[in-house]
Amino acid sequence: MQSDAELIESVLAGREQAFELLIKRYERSVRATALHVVKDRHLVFDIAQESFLRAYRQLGKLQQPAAFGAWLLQITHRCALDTLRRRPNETPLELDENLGPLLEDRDGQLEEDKQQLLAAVMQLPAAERQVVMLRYFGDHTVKEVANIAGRSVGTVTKQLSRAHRRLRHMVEELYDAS
Amino acid sequence: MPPENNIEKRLRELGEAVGNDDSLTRAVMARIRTGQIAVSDEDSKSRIQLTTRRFIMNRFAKLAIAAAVVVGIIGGVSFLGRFGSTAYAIEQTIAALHNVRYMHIAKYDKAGNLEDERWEEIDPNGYQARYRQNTPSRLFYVVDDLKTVMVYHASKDKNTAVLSDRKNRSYTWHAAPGKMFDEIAEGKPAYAVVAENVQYKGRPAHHLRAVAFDTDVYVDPQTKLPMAIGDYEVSFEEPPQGTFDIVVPEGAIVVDKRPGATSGPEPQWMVQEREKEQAGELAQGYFEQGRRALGAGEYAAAVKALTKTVEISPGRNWAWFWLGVALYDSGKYDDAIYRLTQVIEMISENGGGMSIPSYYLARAQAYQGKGMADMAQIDFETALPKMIESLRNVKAGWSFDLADDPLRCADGMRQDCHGAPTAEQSLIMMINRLRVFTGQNFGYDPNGSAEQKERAIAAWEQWAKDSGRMKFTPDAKLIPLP
Repeated sequence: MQSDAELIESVLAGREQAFELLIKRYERSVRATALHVVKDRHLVFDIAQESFLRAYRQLGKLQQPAAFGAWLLQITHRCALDTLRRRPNETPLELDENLGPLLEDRDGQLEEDKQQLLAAVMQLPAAERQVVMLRYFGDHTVKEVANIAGRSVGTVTKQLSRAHRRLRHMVEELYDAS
Repeated sequence: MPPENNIEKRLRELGEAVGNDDSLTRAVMARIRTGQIAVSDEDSKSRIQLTTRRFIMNRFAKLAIAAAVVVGIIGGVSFLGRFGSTAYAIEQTIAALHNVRYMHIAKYDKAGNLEDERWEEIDPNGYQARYRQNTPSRLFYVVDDLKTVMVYHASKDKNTAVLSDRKNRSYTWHAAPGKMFDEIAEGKPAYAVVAENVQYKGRPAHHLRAVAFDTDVYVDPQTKLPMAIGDYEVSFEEPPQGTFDIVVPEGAIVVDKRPGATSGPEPQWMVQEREKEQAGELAQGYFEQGRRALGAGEYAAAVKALTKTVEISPGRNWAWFWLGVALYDSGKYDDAIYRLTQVIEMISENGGGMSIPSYYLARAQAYQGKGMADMAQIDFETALPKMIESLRNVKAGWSFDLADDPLRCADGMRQDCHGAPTAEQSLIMMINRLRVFTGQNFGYDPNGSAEQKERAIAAWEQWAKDSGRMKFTPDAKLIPLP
């Protein structure tokens, strides 16, 4: 499996189809990041599209191609915030308050426990968030995650284990609070 | 029953619930393949310009820019009237406000129900005298007749009227309603005229922008008085008879805290709230302890105290922030990023806040410490517009000053702390900050002429448009603070 850095090198060398692999690799992570911010599934497609396009335009500026994943998700977060700001008279708080009816939407707003877990994932440090998303959203093995992110298997294992600990702690906190 | 604790299984289920399909890939690749989008080194520059373009596309765009230019040119008071191009000047509103006796503000929800209402009597010096607050959305009512303050908690489970000596308890919406705009007369660029003769809810109005507080204000063209400030409708009629009279609602439990008064035992809910308040005080104690430790360079102690603060009172954003800073200063970049991410998420989820650019800047520094230059650059670009804006309007940069100074008397801290920097100090601090984060130096000299200072500020603005690249330079040459 090619690493992110190798795929980026290919894109910059003019092989744009390599970017398709990056989209497939990160699609769920990007969608999840957008969904976490806007809480509205109907906005997610546009945000995801804009995020990938922004990333594509800026690829030449990326100094550390191995950090592509974390960088892309940061871009997504910002795109999602921009989308919210452009929506008149709506704030994330109001969207939260309106979550009830959305939850009944057949298109499937995330269930509450999933939203909470997603919120916890989003609070992880970027490097940990990236490996968690690749491992569980992209369904890659630890070795593949290591290849993709350009890190050693040991580092990824450590990051995953630290992320599990943090997530367990955060989920328990949320449960206690509710 | 607690949620299932198998994190790995739950994460996989979450990934499946988020979902994916080929249409996204097809849509993105179609735009790439048709040449609509190309890889560019210049994108950082175009993105900053894009932000400007979005602003231009705003419905008030041209006039807002005109106002901003005026703010920039005169470097202080933003009166379009001084340039003779318009009939209205904010000075008229200031003068009109000085002559009003009462102020009535009201806020309604989307269905038109009253959420919050205040009546303020204004004394001859412009300050609040008698006061009434009706907040039905929270079943909370206050009357202040200048001697006694009555707070009535109207919910069924409380139904309690608390009487206090005015010296011990006070409520305001604006403590000096007759002088709200007076800071303009002191030369602070607090408001800009956005547009004249617009419509506000079907009525003619002038539109102002409270630059420093990000709030829209609408002024009645006839009276020159504000008719809306933010979400509040404003008017200046005399209140109905008895508005400021203290009348205990029939059947209410009365808790009289005035000196010499005798009162029965406090109801249970008040005891519980006091305990909560005590927990808040405990958190405040740790918060101040943590800030003092951070200010003294005792990072381990700061981390300990600030961790306790957020455990007791998790809603304190500045406690999370300084915890992140203390971790950064301890060299624990991963943990610093984690904590700073938490506070950024917390604020973003609540609709954003004025302090958020300074949190992004701190995280940019933490990413830099970790060697993640691209992530640092993204955070830096998020903070940069507010940094540049504050070169013209120092108030816009207050959160950066606070973020650099845990020993500021703010957020409840009253002892062993110091006041806010002056406007000039604040400007120099921002220029120093920019020098450290960018490695650029455009030669601002606090003793130089107005033209020289203007040239330096304009150079920073131009640089932000052209480049905006972060280059962390801790040994940058700094301007001494006056």
